[in-house]
Amino acid sequence: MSWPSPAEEELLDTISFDEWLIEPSTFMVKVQNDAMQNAGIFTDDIVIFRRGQKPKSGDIVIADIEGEWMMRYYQIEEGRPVLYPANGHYGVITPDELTVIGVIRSVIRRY
Amino acid sequence: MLIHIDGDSFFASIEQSVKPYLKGKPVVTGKERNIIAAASIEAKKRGVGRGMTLWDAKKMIPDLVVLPTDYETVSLFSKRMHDIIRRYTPVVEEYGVDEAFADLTGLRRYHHTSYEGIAAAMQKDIHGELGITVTMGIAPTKTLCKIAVDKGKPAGLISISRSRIDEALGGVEVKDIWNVGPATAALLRKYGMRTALEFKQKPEEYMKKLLTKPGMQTWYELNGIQAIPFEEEKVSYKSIGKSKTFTPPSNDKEFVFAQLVKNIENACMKARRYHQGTTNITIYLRTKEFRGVGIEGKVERVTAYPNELIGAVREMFEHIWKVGYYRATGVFLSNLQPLNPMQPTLFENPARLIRYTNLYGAIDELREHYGKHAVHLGASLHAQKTQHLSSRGDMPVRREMLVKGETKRKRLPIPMLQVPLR
Repeated sequence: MSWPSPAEEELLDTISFDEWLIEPSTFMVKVQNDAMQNAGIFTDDIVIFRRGQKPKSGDIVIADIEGEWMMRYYQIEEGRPVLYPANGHYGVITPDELTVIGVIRSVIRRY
Repeated sequence: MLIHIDGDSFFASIEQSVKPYLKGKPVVTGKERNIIAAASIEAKKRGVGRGMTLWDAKKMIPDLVVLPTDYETVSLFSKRMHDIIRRYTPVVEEYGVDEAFADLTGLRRYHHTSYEGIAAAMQKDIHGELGITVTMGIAPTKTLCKIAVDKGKPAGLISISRSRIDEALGGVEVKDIWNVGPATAALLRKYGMRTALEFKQKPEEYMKKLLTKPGMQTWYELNGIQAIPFEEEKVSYKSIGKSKTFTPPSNDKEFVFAQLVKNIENACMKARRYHQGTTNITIYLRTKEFRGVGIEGKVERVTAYPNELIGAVREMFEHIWKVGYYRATGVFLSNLQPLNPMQPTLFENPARLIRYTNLYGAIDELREHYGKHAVHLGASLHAQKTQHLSSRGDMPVRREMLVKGETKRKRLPIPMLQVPLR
């Protein structure tokens, strides 16, 4: 007989990286441009987003604008959604039709 | 009340979910086999369905989008779909990748809503979080749930209450009842039962004379009495199967044997990955006419090394081989048991055993570096060549869209949205 290791017990209160990052409806997508670089999201980063989550103003979202897919800041202005880039080289978009696919939850970059 | 949940055009819908630019387009999967495994709703509307050859399908739909089957992504979606169902009830039977049965009895008060309300909430979660639709059927028995789902396809929610069973069964042909095979359907028709309703309304004693136990189970189920048990236990890796179709069919004995050996190598590889070995091996051959012939063999001890199996397999193969054209071979390793530590049997030279272990350890390592079939048995050489030729373009996109740190063999277990972001 030996005492259980106290380390074991202390580790019960930790979570794994998986639990920390992956929620039931998270998907990932590879970033392919620098439209959000001032938000700290660069080309080849991996973005984890939550599919089906309703966006609120200020969220970064993955959106479908008439068959074009983009990642932008989501703002409601005068009752309408507006998409802002985080890079001056890209324009602001006020879409007539917009489907939000998901809301960004984390960004991962492996060097 | 039970509920049956069935993914609509599951494999094709998943492709549309991870490649949203394919939404609304006719999409099929099964490119790697040249036979359609699943067709999207748009493709089905234009007459293309499961089992059709790609060649025929493309004639019907010139703008058809044809994709290889992405089993990995399908498995991720399948797990998530079942997890969502478990949020609503702990009693879930996973019935294949794209289907489930669940028991909702007693949960209305807990969820503060009707059975239909619970189903609609599940349906909404699955659609919102996975981007696919499912059809739901609510009824007192599994067989009735299946009938409800057939009526609700696609994306519907149909419920058959006890008092409305007859109404639901009137238009259903006996051959379309779940678990009723062609022979039983023919028998029922012979005795004047054309619809599920006519079958259901025959007296129990009369039917008992006509049918065996499974047939009677269906009769009880149609009458609202649960006769088919609920199997909550998820099937684990109790067996591993590998099979592959080759085109064109071949009558070359050694080529067919090589294909079989390759399947054995693949199955053993998978078994080793799970630290499992087998004593029971089943092989089967499928002829050009889709007739199958198989044989099961037993080896003296647990192994996951093709070398140790090949002698037995050759004997089995000789047993079932008949001159003719074959289109597929397959292998099943069943009765899986932990592989380590390997117990050498009496009278066996343990050095030999260790040598095998090392050899295959090395092969598994080589595979990591040079691809799956860098080293293989001479007997499967024949099969290796065709694999390399035919596999190009048949690879799911996800396998090529790797993120840093992933390998061709191992990827992160999260679905990837496969669109170009602007």
